[in-house]
Amino acid sequence: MNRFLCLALLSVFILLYGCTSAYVTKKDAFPEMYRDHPLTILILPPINMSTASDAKELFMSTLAEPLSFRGYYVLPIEITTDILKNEGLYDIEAVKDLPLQKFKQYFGADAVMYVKILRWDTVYVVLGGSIIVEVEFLLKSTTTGKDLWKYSGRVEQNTSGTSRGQGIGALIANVIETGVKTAVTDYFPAAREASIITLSALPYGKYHPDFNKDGDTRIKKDKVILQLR
Amino acid sequence: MRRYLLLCFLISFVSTGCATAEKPMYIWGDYTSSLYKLKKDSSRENLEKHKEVLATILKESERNQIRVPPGVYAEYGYILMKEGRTDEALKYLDLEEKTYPESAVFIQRLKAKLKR
Repeated sequence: MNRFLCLALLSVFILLYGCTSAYVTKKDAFPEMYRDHPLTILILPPINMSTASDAKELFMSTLAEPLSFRGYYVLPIEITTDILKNEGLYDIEAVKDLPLQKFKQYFGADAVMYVKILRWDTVYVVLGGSIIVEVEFLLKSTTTGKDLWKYSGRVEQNTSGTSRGQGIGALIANVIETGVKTAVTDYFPAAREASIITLSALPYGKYHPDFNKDGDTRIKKDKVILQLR
Repeated sequence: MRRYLLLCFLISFVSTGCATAEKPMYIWGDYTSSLYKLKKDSSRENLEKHKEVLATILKESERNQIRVPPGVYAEYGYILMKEGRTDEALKYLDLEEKTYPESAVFIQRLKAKLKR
């Protein structure tokens, strides 16, 4: 009996430990963020590691709104991107060796956001398909050059067909429907959600009423995943 | 006991009342979807639509007395600037700087470029 109780307690402990280690407080995860307190953020053109050539421009359009709701001043992306293009800095290769202070000097940015698009694609399986958008963000201080915040997010949107029925006829109908639906479904909902869920791990900025009060908020460590139906 | 229940009811009533009356932080309207569409297909029509979305954000924010979201004055001014309506463009760039003083470095640089 005693041994059983001991084992039960141990397993509960292991379970709990496993659970808590997957979560961290924002202050523990991003201590530099609570020291640096950036306000003005410049978003650099993303590094596109996906196979979709248009992902870069498309994803960038989903960033300003959720980032502003976190309490930051987001430099107008439409303008800053044009300027970077004109200066030959649209490709991250050209930007990455620039000293960060340049962004402070030129744009008045307290921090620079590097965005990586890891996935922007569609996966087909026999009875369904899904759209996957996966991104990684890194915020760097232009004052200290330190990493302030780093986080990833992944959204999987199911695009399976909904034909119900039995037998091979229904199966074929389902496969065709899935193919069609995946082909016409656009990436907007998944891309937008990816921005929102990833940025929700960012500590609040000065324009948010909870600025500097969210240090004890627990978040998933490193990465968040969302299934969209 | 009954009185206590009533009190609970009242409190929950009042607190939901507060919640619904609370103003949003910003009004972005259809901004994100309209910009996404413009990136997907940069037709004249989509640009006009996006410009309209920006104008609506300005109007609605003003009507509800909420601060215009970061960058919206500037983006609207930038479109006017590209249309050659320089004086109006300058007005919106100034509004951006007034609303968000931290944008000053950037706005001044943009204005210098515009006047050149």
